Amino acid sequence: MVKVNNINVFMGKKHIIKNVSFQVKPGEIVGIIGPNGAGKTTIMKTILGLLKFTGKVSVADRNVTEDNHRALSKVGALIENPAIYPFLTGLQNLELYTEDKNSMKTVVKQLKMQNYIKSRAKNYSLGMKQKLGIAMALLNNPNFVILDEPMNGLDIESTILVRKLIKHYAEQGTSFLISSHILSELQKIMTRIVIINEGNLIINKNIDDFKNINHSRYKLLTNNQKESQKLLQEKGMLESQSNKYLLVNEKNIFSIQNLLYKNKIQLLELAPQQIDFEQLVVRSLNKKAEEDEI
Amino acid sequence: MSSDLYREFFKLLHRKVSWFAPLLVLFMMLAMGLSEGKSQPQLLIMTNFASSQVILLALVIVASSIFSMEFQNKAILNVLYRSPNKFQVFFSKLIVIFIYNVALHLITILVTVILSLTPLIDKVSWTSVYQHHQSLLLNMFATVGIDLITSTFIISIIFMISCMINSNAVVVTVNMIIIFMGAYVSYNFLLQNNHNLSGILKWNPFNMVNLTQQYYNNAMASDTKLSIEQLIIATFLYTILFLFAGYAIFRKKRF
Amino acid sequence: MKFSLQQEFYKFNHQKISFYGLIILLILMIYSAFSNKTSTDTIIQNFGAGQWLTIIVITISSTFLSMEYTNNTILTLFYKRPNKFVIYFSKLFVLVIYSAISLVLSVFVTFILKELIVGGQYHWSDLVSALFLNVLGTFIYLMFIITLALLLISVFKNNAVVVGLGLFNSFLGASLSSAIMSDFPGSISLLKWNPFNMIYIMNQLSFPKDFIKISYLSNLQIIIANIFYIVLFGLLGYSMFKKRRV
Repeated sequence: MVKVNNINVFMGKKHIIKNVSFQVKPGEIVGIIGPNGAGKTTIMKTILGLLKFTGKVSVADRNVTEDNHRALSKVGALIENPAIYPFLTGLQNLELYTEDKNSMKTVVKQLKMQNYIKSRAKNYSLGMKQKLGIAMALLNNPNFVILDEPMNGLDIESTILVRKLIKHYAEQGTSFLISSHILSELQKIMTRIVIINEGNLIINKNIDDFKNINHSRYKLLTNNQKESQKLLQEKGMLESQSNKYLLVNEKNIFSIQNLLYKNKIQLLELAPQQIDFEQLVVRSLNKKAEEDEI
Repeated sequence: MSSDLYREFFKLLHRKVSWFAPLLVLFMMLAMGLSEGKSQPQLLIMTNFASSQVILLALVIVASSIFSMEFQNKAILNVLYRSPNKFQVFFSKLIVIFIYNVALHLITILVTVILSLTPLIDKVSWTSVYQHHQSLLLNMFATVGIDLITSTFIISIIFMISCMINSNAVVVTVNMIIIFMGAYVSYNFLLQNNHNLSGILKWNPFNMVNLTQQYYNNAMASDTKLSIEQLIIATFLYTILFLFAGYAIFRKKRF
Repeated sequence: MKFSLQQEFYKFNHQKISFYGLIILLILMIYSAFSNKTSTDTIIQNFGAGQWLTIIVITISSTFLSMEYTNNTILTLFYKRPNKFVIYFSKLFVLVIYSAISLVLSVFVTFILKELIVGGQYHWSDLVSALFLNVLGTFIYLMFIITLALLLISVFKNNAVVVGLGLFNSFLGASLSSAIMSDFPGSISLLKWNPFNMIYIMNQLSFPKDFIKISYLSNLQIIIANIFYIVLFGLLGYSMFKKRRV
């Protein structure tokens, strides 16, 4: 659906996006994650042909350049703040871009905005504006939707609503590229994760693969931690420590059990280490930083 | 293109300021009628109640925010990616303002006809010969035609400056200074002293602001040092130049 | 109140537009000095500083209030400050001080320009009192402009409209006022109080003989009328500002 091939973006002399490539397949929900200023919004703007760049961006096999947006006819986007004209009503804001009125009504209904859609947008709350921005992105049954921090300012109910809506659209083949700093929000919907830091693409993986790479650690508790630590260190099988636990690699767990048994140490606990998603991302970012230092 | 145009019209017509500006024009026309109605009724009709300047004021107020409003609330991002290219965005804004300008001129013609029927100004014959050996009626239409050239020239300046400067207020100020003081600056500073360079300096863009005025007041020719034909051609060329410059800046701009 | 003022000054100093305003004033004064023959009149008029300052002050005043709405920082102001009165009048005060500083600067520039261009041709002792009357008149009129700009921004909420109207007043207001008065000579006693007429205060105090004939107001009358309008615009502007929903 969308192919981003080796793009570079410069802001003056500053190199802000460095050789980034990835793809979004039909129906995929790609989460784009990274610290503030990493270049998430810049990548999104580049795909929309709003910036000068080198490399290639194509949507449905048609190229997007800064001066040709024809490939974007079936693309919807919400970038930074929702682009809303305060002197128009919500409905008029939608009307501005709608191709058929039915799709507009559907979107309004799907986002439950009927109550205020006919009043002027200048009186909208932050959440209402955000929903209107999302509605504008979902107009005209797009093939591909870009959402920059879509959950900004939404209450819990709306967040759940939007999440369901994204899944609903994805099931019908719409692809999504979504950025967020609330990882748990994306965790529930994304099918692929792209991690960006300082303009570099660090990780681009299917979400299940991503969870697996970091599941290969086990935590170990014995009746004699000191002795076990010494033993494991001698064999080079100790990865690190966390609180009272020793952390070891999955591939070694059988030899470790044998080793402990031989030394008459009793096993109290041996289990896969549970870490939350946020930690995974932080760890990926840190790992990359360490590698850079070396 | 058609959808870009439709959107620009939609936005223009839904902004209060687009409707407020014609009221300003109307008010100024009435004021001019009050003050000159008995002394120079024919000139008032020829110039549509001296509406040229206040139309420029209206254009500055309406057109200067057509860009800066979208720059400020970032709506320009949406406009740009939904449009095939930047040229269409720029060009449809230009067409919309141009049509708005024509509409303003049509309104002044209509108001002139209505006001001429009231006791506000002395009765005059529309068919009697007035200036340029032509009937008053023709004079009026010709003035509107000439003023369309002048005001399009001003629009090109407004577009160029609003792409250059983000602050709405500064754009308005610069344009107002050009409209109200441009002619004065051109004469006072560049042409008054008749020095060797006048031959070149008379082509400075500020001088072109005088176009409409020179058409209904031939004495201006001694100030501008250009004939009406020269003024028209120069104004036209400057309009194109400024539009190109404006578009080039818009293209380069980052959002 | 003191804290409020400090914050407003801080913001004002960090907005480039206030600095540009002074630069432009300087350039325009030099332009006036070299485009016309320098006479005692041009020196007394501060090389046109008054007329240029009205333009600059309109733009700056209107932006100084409207930017709070554009950036939505007005909300922060509202909850951080004791009341809306403090916000409005801190802004007003900062702008008045800015006008005063600009005027002092313009007098300074006038002194330099005079020495450069005509040297000792005219004696300061003949000029100083008229010059300072001119500065006083301009200062009063600038307050008129500031309160008007803040009032208009509270009514129209649109920077372009406010600057447009404000400049229109500066460029054409005076001739409009004169035209109307000359057409209705019977009603001059009433029409002379119209707000467009107030602009004559800038020159009337130093050239009373010439300008009383144009404004139809005595020096005392025009000062009082200006102050009346300043108070009126200030109060109206404040009440509109207070009512405005954010």
